[in-house]
Amino acid sequence: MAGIEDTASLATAEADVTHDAARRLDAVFRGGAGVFSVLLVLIAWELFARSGKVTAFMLPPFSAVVERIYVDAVSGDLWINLGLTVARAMTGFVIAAVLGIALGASMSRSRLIRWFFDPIISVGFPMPKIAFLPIIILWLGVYDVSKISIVVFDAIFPVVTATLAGIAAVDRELIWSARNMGASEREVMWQIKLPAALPQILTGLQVALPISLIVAIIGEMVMGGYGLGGAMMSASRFADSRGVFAGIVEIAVVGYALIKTMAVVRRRLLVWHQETAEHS
Amino acid sequence: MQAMTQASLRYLPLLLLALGWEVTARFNLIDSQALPPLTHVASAWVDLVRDGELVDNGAASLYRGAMGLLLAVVVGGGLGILMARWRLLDVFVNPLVELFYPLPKSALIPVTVLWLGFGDGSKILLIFLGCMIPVTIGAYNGARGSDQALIWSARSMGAGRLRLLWDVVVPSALPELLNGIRTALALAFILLVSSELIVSQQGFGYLIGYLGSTGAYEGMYAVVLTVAFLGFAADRLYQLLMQWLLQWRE
Amino acid sequence: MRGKIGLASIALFLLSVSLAQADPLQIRGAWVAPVANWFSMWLQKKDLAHHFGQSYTFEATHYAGTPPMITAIANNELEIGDLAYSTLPIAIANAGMEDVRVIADEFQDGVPGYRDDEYEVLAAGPIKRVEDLKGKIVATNAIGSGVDVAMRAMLRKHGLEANRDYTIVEAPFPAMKAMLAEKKVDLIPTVLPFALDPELKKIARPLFTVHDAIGVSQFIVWTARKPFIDAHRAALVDFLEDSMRIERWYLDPKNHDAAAQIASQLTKQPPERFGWLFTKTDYYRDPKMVPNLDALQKNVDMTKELGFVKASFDVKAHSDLSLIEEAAKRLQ
Repeated sequence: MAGIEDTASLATAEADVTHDAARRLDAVFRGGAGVFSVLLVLIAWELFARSGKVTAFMLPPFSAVVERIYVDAVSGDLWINLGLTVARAMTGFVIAAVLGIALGASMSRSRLIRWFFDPIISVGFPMPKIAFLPIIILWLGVYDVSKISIVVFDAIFPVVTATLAGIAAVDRELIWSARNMGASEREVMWQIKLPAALPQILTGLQVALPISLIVAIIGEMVMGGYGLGGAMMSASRFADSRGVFAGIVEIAVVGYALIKTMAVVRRRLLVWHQETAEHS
Repeated sequence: MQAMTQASLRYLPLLLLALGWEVTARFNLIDSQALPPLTHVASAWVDLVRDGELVDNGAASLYRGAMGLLLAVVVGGGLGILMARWRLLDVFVNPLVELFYPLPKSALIPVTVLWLGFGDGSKILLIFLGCMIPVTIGAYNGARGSDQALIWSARSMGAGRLRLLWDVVVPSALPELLNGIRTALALAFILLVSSELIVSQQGFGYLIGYLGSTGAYEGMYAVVLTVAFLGFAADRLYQLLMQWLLQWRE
Repeated sequence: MRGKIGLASIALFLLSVSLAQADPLQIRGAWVAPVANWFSMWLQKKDLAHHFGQSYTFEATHYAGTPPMITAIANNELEIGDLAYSTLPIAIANAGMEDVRVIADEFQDGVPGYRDDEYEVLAAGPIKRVEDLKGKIVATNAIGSGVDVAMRAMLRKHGLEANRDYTIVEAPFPAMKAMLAEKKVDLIPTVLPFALDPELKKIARPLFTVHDAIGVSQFIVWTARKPFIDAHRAALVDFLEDSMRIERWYLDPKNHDAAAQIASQLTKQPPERFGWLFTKTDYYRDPKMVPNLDALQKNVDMTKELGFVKASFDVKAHSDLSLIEEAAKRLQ
């Protein structure tokens, strides 16, 4: 019978991809080997845009886009839009992380909770939650509450499944011996299960992070106002292609920075994890 | 019989949720406009199917999704495998894959419209671009992991380059490639619905936005639930396909 | 044998060429609001279009607003644009489509004695003056559209800037009444035919009009691109001749009831509601379809001054009225 295990495999499928990309991101760029091909693509963009084969409406030159980003940075618009988008995506991400880990942990402890949430999570994970956006707008309006809620709604699923799978994989003997030594259920959860499941949980978070960004931007595109997504839509309506492409470049940089930061956090946390494991 | 009882017990919570929804709406615990009873949603669904709106828009969406995904699988899968076998391509393309990977693909929505307009083309391009990367990474990892000994023995038996790729590399890359495609499938639904919601004149997303903005909330819920169910069903069907393909490989 | 095949293929080739030439020209037109935009009810009177299916075929497509039409024009998905005074300069100056030409009038707003579109708030709501919109949500059909730019112009006169002082959300015209009633937004633009909805009249009151914001405006014009005009001039004049015949039929008071019937079918509203149709309560529409280029020039300059477009331009140089003049001659 189909169950949460199938969903967990979707999370692993996504995690494999995420993981690998994050790992190689480092290797390639530390070597600087990638700079060459990236530069080549940017030069090709510039030359093609200036060749006269396409209009500046269809593809503005890269230099014009950079200039536009500079102008927006000086005027301050860039920082307002950037800050709001990152704030919304990260607030949603953090809420999804806390709730997701809490739910995953309670599902692993209580049969009743697990019974109730298991089908919801396993049916909900593969669904395109973004389709619910108009309903969320209907309920919560077009301000930040809506923009953040849709992020939480989308990002929480991989966190729950990863937490659940991580805890399920913790060595039974470790848990038993802790209990024998008189540890309370609370202590077992905080000191044994969660730390041991940390690699898996972090993997879940690494899947949730790009989802948070994708969804935050869609929310801004639909609901308008300040933010990179809203600014892109507005630029597109005014046929301001530089603004549209500036948005893509800015969003790409944000995505790159956040995902790279997450990879660093993971390495830090897991180093700590292994060290404590060795000491005890 | 026992399996049936087990299954119904398993999915009982979903039924409870549906019941809770109906009761909440019926007794006006929440503003009923924002939450129409599930039974009204069901009858709106029947109406939408009957007058053809759901079917027409759904067909447009599924066509776009299928084309975009197919292109992503063919091009992305091919690229990943070639990258794994051909060093020069790897060195050049890999950094671009790395750079493009973290880009939240939804940012491409206004651009694909700019390039290809409001019709099918822009959605297919968006889904293709968005879904290609996970497929490429899956194929690349799978193909790199293929057993060197197998390749050598095939070569010693005189297999040509293409033959080698098709008979040895592709099958061994299959599990990871299939996982990559599964991620792509989920992403395709997200990109499809959101791009139709934002810029379209047809499709599921358009219908959701249109019904919602004219206040036909029952219909809007009906379409939202349809899309959600299709996303879920597509993933389950794909899993069956995956199992079958992997068995066939054995 | 070989000779025969050769001859046959040449014959086939010639046949296909002549067929291709006989193919009627494909013309796609755009509309936003039913009844208000001609193309929404053009096909309903295609019996008056003598050249329809002969020298051209026509297809009408619905858009949420005029800004998306720019992308469609750039991608050759739309031959006859239905652009607003604001989206015309966006297409020409921002999108760089220098070859866009104004070819006919659709309607003008704020002409004395005729309809002037309103921006409405809840009658019992807290907003009494434009200044009260600070921190509120205003609805627009599409960012950059004619109603959008006029609204921004008005709010700017009162010291309010989009995003900084108020939030703009996009919503289709038919949804505006519900959005206001449910207090999801605080200000809505009302255009015909939605503006005259009796249910709306009960709950809402006008705060200001388009005329208050920007004066008389050549609100909507028909456009086509110069290479298209040059290549298909004859078929286009045929199309405009038919369009003008259809417009005159609609504007003729004799046909008022029949027109109201068509409007009723389009909007699924009872025909009694269309008493205003094509009277002085309606927008001003030039019977010869000649746009007011002086008004349009002012509107374009203002759009530039407000900073929505990079540069202004000579509207007359971007117009080609010879097509409608030729069409009008044929109808005399």
